[in-house]
Amino acid sequence: MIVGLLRAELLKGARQSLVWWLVLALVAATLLRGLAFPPGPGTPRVGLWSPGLVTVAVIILAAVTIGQEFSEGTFRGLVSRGLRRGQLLAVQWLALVLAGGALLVLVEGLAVLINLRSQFRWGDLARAWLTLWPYVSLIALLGVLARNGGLPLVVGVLVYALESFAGIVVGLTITLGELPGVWRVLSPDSPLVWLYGLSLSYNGANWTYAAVPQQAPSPAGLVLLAMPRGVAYSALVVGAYAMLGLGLAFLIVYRRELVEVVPGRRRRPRHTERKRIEKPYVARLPAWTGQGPVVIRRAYAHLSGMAHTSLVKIGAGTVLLFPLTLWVMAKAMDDTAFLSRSTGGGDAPLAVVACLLLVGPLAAVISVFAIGNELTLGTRRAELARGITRLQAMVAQSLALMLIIGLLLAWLMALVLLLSAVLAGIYPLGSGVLAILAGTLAAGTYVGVVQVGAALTGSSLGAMLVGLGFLLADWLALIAPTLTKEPGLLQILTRYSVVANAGALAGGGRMIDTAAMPQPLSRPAALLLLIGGILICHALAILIARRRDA
Amino acid sequence: MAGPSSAIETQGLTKRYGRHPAVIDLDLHVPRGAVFGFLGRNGAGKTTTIGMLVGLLRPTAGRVWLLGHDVSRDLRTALRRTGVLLDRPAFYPYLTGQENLWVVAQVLGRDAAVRIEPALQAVDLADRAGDRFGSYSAGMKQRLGLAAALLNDPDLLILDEPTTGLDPVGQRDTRLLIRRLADETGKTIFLSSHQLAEVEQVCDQVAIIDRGRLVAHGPLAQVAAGRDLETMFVELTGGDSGAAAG
Repeated sequence: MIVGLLRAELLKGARQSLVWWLVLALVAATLLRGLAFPPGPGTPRVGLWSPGLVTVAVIILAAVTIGQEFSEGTFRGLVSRGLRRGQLLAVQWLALVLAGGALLVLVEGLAVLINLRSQFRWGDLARAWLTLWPYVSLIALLGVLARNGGLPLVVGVLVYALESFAGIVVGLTITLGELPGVWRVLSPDSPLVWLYGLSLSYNGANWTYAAVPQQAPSPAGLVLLAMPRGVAYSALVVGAYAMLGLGLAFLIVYRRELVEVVPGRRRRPRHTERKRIEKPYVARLPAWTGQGPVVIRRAYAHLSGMAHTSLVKIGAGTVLLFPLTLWVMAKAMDDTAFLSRSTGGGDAPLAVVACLLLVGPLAAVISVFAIGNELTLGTRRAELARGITRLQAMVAQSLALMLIIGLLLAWLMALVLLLSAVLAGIYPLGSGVLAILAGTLAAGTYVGVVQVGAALTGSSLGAMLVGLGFLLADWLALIAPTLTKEPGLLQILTRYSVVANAGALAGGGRMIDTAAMPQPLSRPAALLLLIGGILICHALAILIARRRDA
Repeated sequence: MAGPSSAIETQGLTKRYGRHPAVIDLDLHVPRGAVFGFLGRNGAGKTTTIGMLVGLLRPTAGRVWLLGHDVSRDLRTALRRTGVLLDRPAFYPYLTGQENLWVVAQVLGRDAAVRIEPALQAVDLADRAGDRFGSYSAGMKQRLGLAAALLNDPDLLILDEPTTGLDPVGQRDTRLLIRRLADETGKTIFLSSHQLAEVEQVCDQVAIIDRGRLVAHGPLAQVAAGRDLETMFVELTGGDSGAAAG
């Protein structure tokens, strides 16, 4: 039966358009890096180049595959035919790690063919493949917990992004050597080292590159150089995460109820029924209902609806990790200069500007799910049937999404300002407010791009691919100048990065302070670009939507 | 242990969600070869009961036997001889109808794959078998669910509202198919439905559940006691309150 189920997974994979889109994206990224932006002649071409990209692809694939089994009801359908819950989960886990291995072979093989890497080494590939296992286990665990693909995708991508971000911070800290006490931070006794030493990204890199920093790309190589650990230690940590995640997923899937139940009529005491009748439903609706322009009313309705979803609560909880990281850094370094120091020739503290790095992932993920839900549930169609125009519907939803991201950013900024006041004795309130404004405007472009994806494809999957693709492209544009020393096209790309312009508006300086980064645009120019981005994306989305049937 | 004449037997079957009882002390007896109608209003506990019968939900108390097998110990053996159509037919939208049945056949074993074609023909879906499930109408989805339930040539069919979403012709064909399966092959059919006319036409025996409790159980003629099923159903389930019906 296991072989039959694996064959079924293979068939499903071959028929799923998401798989082919991911393959296409990985191949395109490899060709772009190898042919359009080849590494300089002095850059060593050793080790692997794609584990990070393949990990993100596997997280997306695993979240959609496992989540769909629950949200579409196919999991309970197969269990009701006599399949053990554990068998199905185990086969899916196996199929996903095999798919991850196939993606690694494909991309690394292509990298050797176009001379991006010098040789194809199976040993490196096998080690990189094993580091995918804990991510698949984590997604399986989140999938059986949430019984949908949304939460695993959001948490999986955020965990990976935050871990990688922590790695970049540590790597850049070493490279630049600007912060005082940096070597104390990375001393073996430091809590930061201990914490980061438990992370999947560090242990994954250490295990993949067999603890040889020269094999690993920057900044992972720099971190490995500063934090040497044994390969066996990292293998154990990676293996422990994989086993723990999968074990917990098994435990939970056997305890789960698998039926969606219609709530029945409860037997109520008569006095309770009287109370219910005395308080009409209309009285329990939010205030302002039915008043004002339709766009504002719909935006308010969207806001009320989203406030009840777990996505926003998860977002609010996840952003807590950022001030927590700042607090750990301050305590570990015994220095708070990074809280007050401005960056890239600007006037805002680094900590305030760095908050804007979270805008892209937050805006992309929340928009993808909010707009995807509209398509899946058919609520947008219902709005049109009630006489609301496409323009009104889209603008109202985008306004609500921008406000939600703005509120999340305000929550994050309040925590960062509190931290700055307590630890460094500074109150950069003006910079904080400007950063919230810049972040909200940046979120508008992300929301607009997801609207374009939804209008173009008419599917939540299409909206997700376009939204997450834009996030990746925007981040690549931000860090593009650090990839090569050659000036030119990459510098131009960076100027148009949404995050970079939000940073320029908030801080007046460069987002990443290296000589490779171009001088940022002036604040008015950055503001114009951000507003222009919102208008262009939404105009495009409305144009496309008007030409399509609802 | 239930007697060999029982296709489904439950004793004191109870399910609570927190403090809310969904099914209370349910004693069902479905004889082999019967077409058994399981009736109740929305939220009465029908889907919860079916969930417990096929192992998707764990009972808070009580026991279930399917075809003589205690499902708490031997669920898989029982399900090998049972076909199940859940309330919402669940298939992969990006696979064709035929491919979806092939996936189900991988779970059921080698013999099931050869029954894909006959099952598709039985539900009149053979000409659309190559289309993606995502492009199917609600009625076609329901019919594919019925085909999947027939794949293992089951002795017992558990069908949760099988005619939901079907047009009048589809409803009639499904009713005829159910009756034919019972008459010609002797299969036991446990049919949960809202459609009282359908139950009157197809079923030999009925059980009515209201707010988790069994309020009537037995041969159709005996339960109805000379009245029409609708009048009796409304009386037993307190349907006279009207507004709460859904």
